[in-house]
Amino acid sequence: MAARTSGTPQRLALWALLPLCLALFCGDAHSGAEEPAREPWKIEEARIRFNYFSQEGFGYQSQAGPGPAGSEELRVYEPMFYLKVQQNPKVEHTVTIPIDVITSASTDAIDATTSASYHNEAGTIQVNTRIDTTEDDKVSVVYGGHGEEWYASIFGGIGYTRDLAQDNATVTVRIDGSFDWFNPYGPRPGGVVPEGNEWDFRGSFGGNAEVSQILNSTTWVKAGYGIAWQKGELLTPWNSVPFLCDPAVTVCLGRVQEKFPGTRLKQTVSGLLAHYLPRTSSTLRLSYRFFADDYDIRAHTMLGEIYQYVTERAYINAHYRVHHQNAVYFWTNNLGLPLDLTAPRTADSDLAQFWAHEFGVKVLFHLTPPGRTHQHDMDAYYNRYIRSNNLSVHVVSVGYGYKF
Amino acid sequence: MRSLVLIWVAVLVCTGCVRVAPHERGYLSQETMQPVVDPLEARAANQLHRAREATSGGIWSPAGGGCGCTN
Repeated sequence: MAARTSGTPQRLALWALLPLCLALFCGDAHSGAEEPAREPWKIEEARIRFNYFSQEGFGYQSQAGPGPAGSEELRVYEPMFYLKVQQNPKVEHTVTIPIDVITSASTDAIDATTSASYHNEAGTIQVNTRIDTTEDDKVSVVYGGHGEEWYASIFGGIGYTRDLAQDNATVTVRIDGSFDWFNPYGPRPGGVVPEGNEWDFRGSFGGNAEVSQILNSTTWVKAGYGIAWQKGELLTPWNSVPFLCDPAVTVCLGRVQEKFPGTRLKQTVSGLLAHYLPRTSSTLRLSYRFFADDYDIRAHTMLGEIYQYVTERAYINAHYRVHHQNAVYFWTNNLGLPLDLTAPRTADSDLAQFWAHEFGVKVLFHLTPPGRTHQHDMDAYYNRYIRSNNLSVHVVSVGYGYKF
Repeated sequence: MRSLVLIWVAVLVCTGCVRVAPHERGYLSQETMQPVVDPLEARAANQLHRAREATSGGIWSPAGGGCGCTN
């Protein structure tokens, strides 16, 4: 007891020193000088875009009949907002908010507890904060969340960028993670009724490394490697797998819910080359991406783009993208006997083998002459996406940007 | 996969000694030469592909995604 009373003043003195230490470390280092006026946060750029997606096609995971391959028809109306804010000369934030209004989100799944089968609204907020710690070093932090009917996700990550050789080369490393939780939408395909109002979870953890290099005054390249590991319930709750069908898969006895392995490991390698042609005021961009995972997917994606200035204030952009992937090892559109309900299975057309071709055209106008402080621009584009396994999408978009 | 990594490393090592002075980077600072030309357009394209292909993540978000619905 005595020791306790004698120790109390010492502890009080230590506690009293704490704010002093904090003041020393966190206080203004130039306290003797006149305190500079703190600059207010400054909006640098604002953008708004409206996208319209119209999808048509058929997939075996869909129950929206009439045959085993059900309709995948849906529409998405998507307004998006983007804001870039400078907190001070060393700290910059960007905020991105897309909102999706989706029709027939789950392609007519059996759905007793929510309206997600028929329509759904989804929203995401993502904040990127970049801190210039020195002239050559930057730390970036990304965080945000996503919400829709009976599904939510939070994500975050941190990255470090080092500029080398007077910014001729840049190295970036990043780690990130996300955590999702969702309701399994009441009764599931095949009449499987989950016990209670349970929630399913999954997490994803990843790392990326990128190197970019200026080759000459008109060309730069970039290469990246990424790895991600997922764990948890990786299936899509409303997807089903037809079973005991005729050989042509025109009539099936029934459907069961898809089932995924509990983990997934993904790896990618990607490269980008950008080249400017001064004589024609054109920019060529070529990129390639290779993807591999432990579900036996091997995918190759190539993208070619050309930007052509037609006046000082307007350019046209055209692109062509081709993608090929093979199917996951547990893909089937006809689950046969013996029915092993513990084995992984999916009929999802997104996980099947296919080729995908996409082309698009964009036109952008700068509404203000070059050199002005405040810049307006407006653009519109159309993209067409066609997959070899009976799916196609029209995309129409208009955007407006303002640089303060 | 390993050979692709080696090819890219070789390309970057071989070009690593190139130096372009800041005043020679006028063309590189063009709007169409930026890593991301339009952040919202890039995001919309990423969403289109992520939800319809088994290789979630865009060109420059190599292997992200925790959501089974986007595979």
